[in-house]
Amino acid sequence: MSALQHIDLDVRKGEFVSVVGPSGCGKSTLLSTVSGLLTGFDGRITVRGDEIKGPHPDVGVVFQEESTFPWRNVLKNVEFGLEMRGVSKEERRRKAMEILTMVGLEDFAKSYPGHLSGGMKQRVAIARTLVMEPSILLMDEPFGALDEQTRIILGEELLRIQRALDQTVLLITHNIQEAILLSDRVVVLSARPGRIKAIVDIKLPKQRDSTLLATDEFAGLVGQVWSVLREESLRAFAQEQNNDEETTHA
Amino acid sequence: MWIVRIAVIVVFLVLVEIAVRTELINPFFVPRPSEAVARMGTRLTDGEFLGLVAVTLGETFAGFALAAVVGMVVGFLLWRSRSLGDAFEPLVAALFSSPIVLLYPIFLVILGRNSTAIVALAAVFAVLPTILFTKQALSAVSRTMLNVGRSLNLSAWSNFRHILLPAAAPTIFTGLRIALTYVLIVVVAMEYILQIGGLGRFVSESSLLFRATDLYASVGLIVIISAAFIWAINRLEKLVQR
Repeated sequence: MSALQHIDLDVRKGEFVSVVGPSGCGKSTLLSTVSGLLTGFDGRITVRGDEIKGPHPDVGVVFQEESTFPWRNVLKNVEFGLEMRGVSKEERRRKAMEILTMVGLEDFAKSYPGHLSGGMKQRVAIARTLVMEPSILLMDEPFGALDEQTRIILGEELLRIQRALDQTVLLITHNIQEAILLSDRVVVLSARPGRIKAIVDIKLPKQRDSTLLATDEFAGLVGQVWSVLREESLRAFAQEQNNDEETTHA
Repeated sequence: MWIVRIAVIVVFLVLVEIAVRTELINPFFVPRPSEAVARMGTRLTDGEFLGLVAVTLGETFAGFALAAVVGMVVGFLLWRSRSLGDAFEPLVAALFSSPIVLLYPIFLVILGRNSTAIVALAAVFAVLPTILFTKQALSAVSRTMLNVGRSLNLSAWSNFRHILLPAAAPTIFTGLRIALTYVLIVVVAMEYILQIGGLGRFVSESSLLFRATDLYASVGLIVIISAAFIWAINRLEKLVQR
């Protein structure tokens, strides 16, 4: 059984699009295909008209799982991509420090990831991707392991950076509020096999922050997304139970 | 930290010194540490130890280098090929927990009563932890870390050198430190049992002739050699993680 079916999605330049869906619906698979890390599927993915056959240099990926390098300090983690591309030492130091300041970690440049909290490590991972100045940013539940407050604060930072660099962002998340707060459009996937169930336009002002969370307009959007997602989540839940039964019988 | 470590050793030696001087410990069996250290110095300067050290160092280095190179390559292959790994890892693990050192008569019969037999036995013994730890170290490297490299379009070599190797290094080097310990044990024990070669032979001779000062001087020297090897391995680990 395939993870995804009939996915047809256009993301415009400078647009922030989030993908939400019930667990196991293939959200992460969608991101792996766009990042070029997963090949061998039916269909076409293009970046500015060029078909993606492997990782694209203009595309930066932030992974869901812990991905900082414990043997490099924070600064050297962030410098990694630039170092691999042969950027000079001064140049990559300058750029890395700039991004570290942006994510509020300039005082931890010499620390090793082992001494940082989960949220700080994730900020290092985000900085490591941002420093490459990718025009397209793919993120797979980058704040998944974080507590609610950190999640909201980091989301705001991300939005600020995205606006400043005019990046195109595709964000996978299971958090509806996060999706709405950050995005121009929210794509809701169905239960497995994932299809596009609905696309919700988020007509909130471009310049926004987390104070919006308290507004009626925001609550309305959450209700709108949830009404679609609820049905699919229930279906996914039923699927899982069936699978469990099948495995116990087998 | 260094000061604390050295202080612990010095305090211990001073306590033994006092115990021996006050004859709390029989000086016939345990020499004064100060004497043993002085003896180590004279034996080194009069050249008596130099040949022995050279032989033991040579055997240790050869056995360890063989075990390290072969072990890491085999461990890499067992990781790279799933079927090879599934087939051979349990066998290596079973061998690892068996007392291979007791096979020494076979090595002597095949290779002769010489350094080659000692090196071969040490390498065979030490290659096992190297293989196992290398395989396990590589298997434990997270897919996500490797995907970071892939998403940056790194070459296979860069991915290996800058992600896979440093990520696996702590566990691989744990294996290498165990391998070194095994090599030293086998080398010294075989020299001791077979009465050939370097410092192990000298230890055995000294103990048979009740030359306690020489005995402890040579045992102390073996400890120093072991510490030096471990230091070198730790330096190498730091280099790999750059």
